[in-house]
Amino acid sequence: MRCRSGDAAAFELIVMRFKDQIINYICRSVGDYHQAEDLAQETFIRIYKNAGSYEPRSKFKNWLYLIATNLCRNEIRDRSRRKTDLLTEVSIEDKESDYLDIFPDFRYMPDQLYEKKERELIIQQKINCLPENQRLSLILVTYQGMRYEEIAEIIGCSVSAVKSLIHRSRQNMKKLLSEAGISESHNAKI
Amino acid sequence: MPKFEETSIQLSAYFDGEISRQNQLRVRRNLENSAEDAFELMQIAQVDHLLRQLGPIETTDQFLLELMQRVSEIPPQEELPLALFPRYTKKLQSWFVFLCDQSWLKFHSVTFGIAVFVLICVSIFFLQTRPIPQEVNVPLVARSVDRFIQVDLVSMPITEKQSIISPIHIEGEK
Repeated sequence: MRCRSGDAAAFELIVMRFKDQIINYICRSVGDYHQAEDLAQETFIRIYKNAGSYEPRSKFKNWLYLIATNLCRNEIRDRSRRKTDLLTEVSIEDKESDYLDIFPDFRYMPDQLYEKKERELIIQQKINCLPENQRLSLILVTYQGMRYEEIAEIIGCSVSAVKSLIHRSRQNMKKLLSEAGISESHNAKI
Repeated sequence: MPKFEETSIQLSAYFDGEISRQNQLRVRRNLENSAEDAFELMQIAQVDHLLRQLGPIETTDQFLLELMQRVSEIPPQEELPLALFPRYTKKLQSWFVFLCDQSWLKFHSVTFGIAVFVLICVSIFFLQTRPIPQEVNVPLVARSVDRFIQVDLVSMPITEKQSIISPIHIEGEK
């Protein structure tokens, strides 16, 4: 409420509370840490600018995630458009260089850690292969621990649609991960 | 939607704890009896476990500093002067809020009173307007769908006995 009247200290408290969650959410959605930081900043700036128009009908957290989701959607669409426009085939090396932003350089790490990081990289790549809404809902339920009702409000669909989206995203992930040779048994060996 | 698909969706929602108590019991009963369902649930759990291997991303302190810097550069928003209509709307809103704050009964009685007053005014207005006298000879022009009929009432005065108006001539007849 204080943030609505332009209180910078109150705004700072909000940022401190939600920044990690929002950056994690955006980073998992777009797959690029630097881009995620920029989008998270944009999200908080929009919150600051539109604090006056916020009506506390729904939870503040949902409103924050809604703004972040819209920015993520725009970014995902822009990226796919750019890729289509340029008609460039993104090689695996290029893709990997994208994700190196998220993960530290692990080339000189011991084998086990290297394998672990490599697996994380593949999982992130596979998440990015999912369709937009499936990806967002899966990230919200798995990494943000959100209820279906909240996800429905953020994504802008019904609870039953969210159920279906999450189910399909899990099915797709199962397929994609098994194709990439990542499974629970593989994990057990490591 | 095929039945197995529906069951699979239910299992996924069950895994997230997003189904009602009744459905939970039903799913549990199914899991005890069906090995396929149990296997499906196990696969969901495995996928979830694999996904959770991606640990949380640590953010830098630089983020907050940069953000606060950007926020400090935003000029303070000036309140725009309200236009005539919104100004009155705001006033009305404040009155209604005042009334609402007092009591709901008061609010409803005031609304009802206004409605009755408007109804009385409208009925008085309609009662006071005089009906058009039938003796006045006014050329009447009647239009049908595909014909244009002109009726001259000057040359043919209407009496009480003559209730039917007969057309003198029809224009534009196809």
